[in-house]
Amino acid sequence: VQQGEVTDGPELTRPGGVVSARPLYFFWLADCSGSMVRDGRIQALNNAAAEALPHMRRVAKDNPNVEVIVRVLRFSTGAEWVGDAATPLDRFVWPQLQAGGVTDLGAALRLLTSELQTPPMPQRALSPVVVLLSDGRPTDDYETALRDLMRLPWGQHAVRLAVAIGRDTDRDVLRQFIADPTMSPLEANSPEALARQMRWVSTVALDAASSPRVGMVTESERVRSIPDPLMSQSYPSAGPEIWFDDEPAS
Amino acid sequence: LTTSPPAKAPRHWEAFGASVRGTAHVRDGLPNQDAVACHAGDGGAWAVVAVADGHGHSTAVRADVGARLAVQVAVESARSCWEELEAGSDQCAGAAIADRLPAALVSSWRAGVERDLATTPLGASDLERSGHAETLGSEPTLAYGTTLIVAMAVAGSIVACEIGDGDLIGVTGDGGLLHPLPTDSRLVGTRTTSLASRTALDDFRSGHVDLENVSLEVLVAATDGYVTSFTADDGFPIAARDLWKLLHEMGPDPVHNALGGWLESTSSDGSGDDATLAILFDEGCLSETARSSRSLGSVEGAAS
Repeated sequence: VQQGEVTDGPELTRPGGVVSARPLYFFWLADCSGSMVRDGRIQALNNAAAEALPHMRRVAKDNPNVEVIVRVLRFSTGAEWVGDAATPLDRFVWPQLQAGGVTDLGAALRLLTSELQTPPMPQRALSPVVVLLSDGRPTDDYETALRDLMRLPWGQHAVRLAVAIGRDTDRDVLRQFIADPTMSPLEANSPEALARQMRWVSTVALDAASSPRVGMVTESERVRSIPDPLMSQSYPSAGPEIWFDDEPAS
Repeated sequence: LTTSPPAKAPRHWEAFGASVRGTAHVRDGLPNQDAVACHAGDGGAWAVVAVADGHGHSTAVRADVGARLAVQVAVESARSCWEELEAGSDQCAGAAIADRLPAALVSSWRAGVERDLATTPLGASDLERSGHAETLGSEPTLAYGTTLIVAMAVAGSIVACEIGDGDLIGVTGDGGLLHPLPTDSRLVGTRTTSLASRTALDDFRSGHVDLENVSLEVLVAATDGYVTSFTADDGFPIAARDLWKLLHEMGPDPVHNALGGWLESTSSDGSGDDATLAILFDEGCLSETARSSRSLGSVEGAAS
């Protein structure tokens, strides 16, 4: 939006530079370890994410003062951003992730930490949403990386959510990542449940994080990662289906 | 042969501001939870501006009341400082005022909240609406949570203090920018410190500028809804300088008249949040043309 003119009274140029919707960064941290090949988990994840995208766009359209920007970080043996840069939601296409290797969550958290500095994060951004999707347990030093992440203001105040894919996911690790006892990891024991959870975080969580009035937390209160409007929503159920087996994940 | 430096003309301070309801608040059926108050007293010998942003958090069911109360106590505190100065108190140097202003603001605001609660206690519907009945039951002050920025010109100084987000910028006679207050790295996203917090006094940032040494002409205070609407991080400083130029060239009347429209379009195209801005300026910054064509007196009041 370019500078505007006021028509009431003398014609004066509006002060300040260009104005625009506030950016909201939505980070997917996708476990692409070898165990994600089993039972077609990685394909289920790719499908669920692609199916969730139209719902995510619908929610974003209802919040015109927020520009949702998406980025995917894949981790297995090491970690890397998928694509060169964060992409506005209306141009974002979910990448077809491939699985293989171990579960270097620590490497992923270190990459995320570098992205949650200001810069590159704009000062005026809304609290980012970070969704961790994992079916296993970390194979590297994730605890140090998580501590470093939580030292950052943006790390502390990110809306951190996690989806446990399959029953053998290390939920303690996901709880440490969420760092909020009022919020549990979302359970996805089947492709259908995974699709439900992905849709939930893409819509309900996104909507809650999009409000410019979400986040008063006084310093006398415990800092929470989960915005209030989100807490008033009921979680989607994991569902009765058990498609993913219980073999140890890599 | 020695010559004395030319005597400086006494400062003549004036102030005005505006506040608008954000489009996101309109969508959600919420009132404008920002407030503004501006006052210039004793023929411009002192002046004060205050802006407040009542929290949107669901706990803060009376955030709009808390914000209005905050800007009112800011004006009263400034008036008290001026009266003490007139009475000959030696506690009125800029540094001394900056030191004690936060405590005065916190205690006056809390007293105002207690009076409001005594008149209109939180009802069952308030508690239910908040979703935090237990928290509000034990700490009802949180219902009034708000930020506050205050800037006052008094005793040859600019004294400023702030709790929470929003911004305050000064513009000097050569168009330079001056930040009278330190930043608070904890304020990211939509998180903010609060006047309602038990740690409010520690969370205040305060400072002063000695006007003998700095040719400060304009101060601009704004709530987060305005500041975060600009795409670039330096958008608000650019706006402050633009306002200084407009004041210089056009005088305060056209700027004051246009301010509400600017706030509306800036917020609507930007953050969607309530937007509030107040300007404290020295009449000496006006051009001859602007000075000769103006008619503005002091402006006082809080946003509805």
